[in-house]
Amino acid sequence: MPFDREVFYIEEIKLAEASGLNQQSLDEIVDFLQASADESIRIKEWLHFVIQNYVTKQQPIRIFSREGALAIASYLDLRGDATQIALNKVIALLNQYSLNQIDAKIRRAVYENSSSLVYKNKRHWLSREDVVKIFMTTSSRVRRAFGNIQRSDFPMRINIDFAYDDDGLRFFSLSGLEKLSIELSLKLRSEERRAYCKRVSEVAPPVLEFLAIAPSPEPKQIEQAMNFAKNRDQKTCQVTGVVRDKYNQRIELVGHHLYDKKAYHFLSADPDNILTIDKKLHEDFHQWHGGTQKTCTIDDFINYVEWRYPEKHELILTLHNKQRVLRLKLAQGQRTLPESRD
Amino acid sequence: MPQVVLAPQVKTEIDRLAQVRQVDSELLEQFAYFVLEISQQQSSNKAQSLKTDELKKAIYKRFGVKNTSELKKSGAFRMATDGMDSLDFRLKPTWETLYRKFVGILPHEKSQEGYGCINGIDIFKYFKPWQVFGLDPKTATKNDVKAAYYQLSKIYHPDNLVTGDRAIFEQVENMYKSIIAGF
Repeated sequence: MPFDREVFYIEEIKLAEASGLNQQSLDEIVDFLQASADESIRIKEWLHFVIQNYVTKQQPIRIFSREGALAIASYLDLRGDATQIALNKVIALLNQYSLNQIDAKIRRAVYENSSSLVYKNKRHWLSREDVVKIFMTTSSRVRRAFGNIQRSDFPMRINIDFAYDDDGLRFFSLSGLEKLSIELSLKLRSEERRAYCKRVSEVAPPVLEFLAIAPSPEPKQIEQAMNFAKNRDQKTCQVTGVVRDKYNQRIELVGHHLYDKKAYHFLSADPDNILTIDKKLHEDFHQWHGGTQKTCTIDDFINYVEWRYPEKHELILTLHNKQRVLRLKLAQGQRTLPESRD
Repeated sequence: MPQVVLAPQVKTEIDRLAQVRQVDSELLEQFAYFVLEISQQQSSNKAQSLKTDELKKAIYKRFGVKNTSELKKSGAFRMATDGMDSLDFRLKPTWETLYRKFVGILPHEKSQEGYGCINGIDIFKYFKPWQVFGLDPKTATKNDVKAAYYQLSKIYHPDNLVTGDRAIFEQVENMYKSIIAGF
């Protein structure tokens, strides 16, 4: 039967080890407590533990909840079997588990919300939108935190801790992110949220380093993918349908990266991310979007086509399909995330 | 009663000046005592520089670590120092740089005077805009910040041929742009 792994996550082998017991003794205690008539010590399946599977019919492998681990620790204490060191070890084990859970959440949030990650002036930068999502908060809360930091003894420094891009959008460097982490971990109301924000500065660096150094395809591989895409598209502009032939020798076809090759370099040599289009149209799109230096995604291209070629229903629907496929590919990168610490 | 004693040569000079300039020698003596007391106060305020171990301890505390090895591994430290030049942890100046950036003003660098120092802060070593602008961050308004910035700009703007200084002005401008963004 499926169970909530956010509630039941403590492995019996680790609980036994922390409690100073062997697995067999722990099993005996659990069986005793489960059968106990004394309501104050009785432990229940689905509240204190769940059975993950059976080695044999009589040998279940249990996963405990926090309540379960505490119930066993307090029983050992009551019986006088537990030393203070063992009890402390159980508490430390619980803390480590909850820390691992927080870290896993942060790792996912950082990984999924770092599309704006850029390296500039020897620093890594993330857009405010991404920072808001990483801290799982709101724009106004980040703005307030920023305001508080600027009024502190250690305000953020422009172009060092925060900066603006050409469109006036605010970016934070990693040092800025660390200051936000401190501020939010001290000022948020919820203890759980404070703990989360405090851990951001510990968990984010390895994930961001991983993203920043994720291997980029070689230019040759990108070129090959472009040629593949052009052949697949029968050397025809997929928007206007023009072909370069004897009568249209001036037509030049290019491979357009739907998710741009700089910001989404891991998709740069993927033919699914490349669409054959007329060079003029390509230039027109980037001009419309605000220049070739600006990060673009398939969403921008769909918006452009819907605006410039509203009658191209089939193309727009095909692009929507591609959008789904590419989003899936972006999410699949998740598999390559570093493992969580034990 | 003055706690300092005037040197004989100062007394001789006072007598000479009193005679030549026709000034009250008592007045000159009072002035000499005043100058001596001030300089004595300043030298007693001059704190000793921190030892490397003390610097390290303060940095460890700031990042919640126990030693340099843990510090190097600390995610918070790596984030906070992203973009900084490579750090040589064997050298005292490295720890001083970290102290200035993350802990505060070094005891022997408090109330500094000289080139690049405004309101006791060496603006090339410290990013302390509120102290430099002479404002209380808790109560200062946007207009107060602007007024303080304009005041300093008048002095340090390169267009001011007498007191202008581009390097200082750029630091002041950077401080202004940084804190005004918080309003």
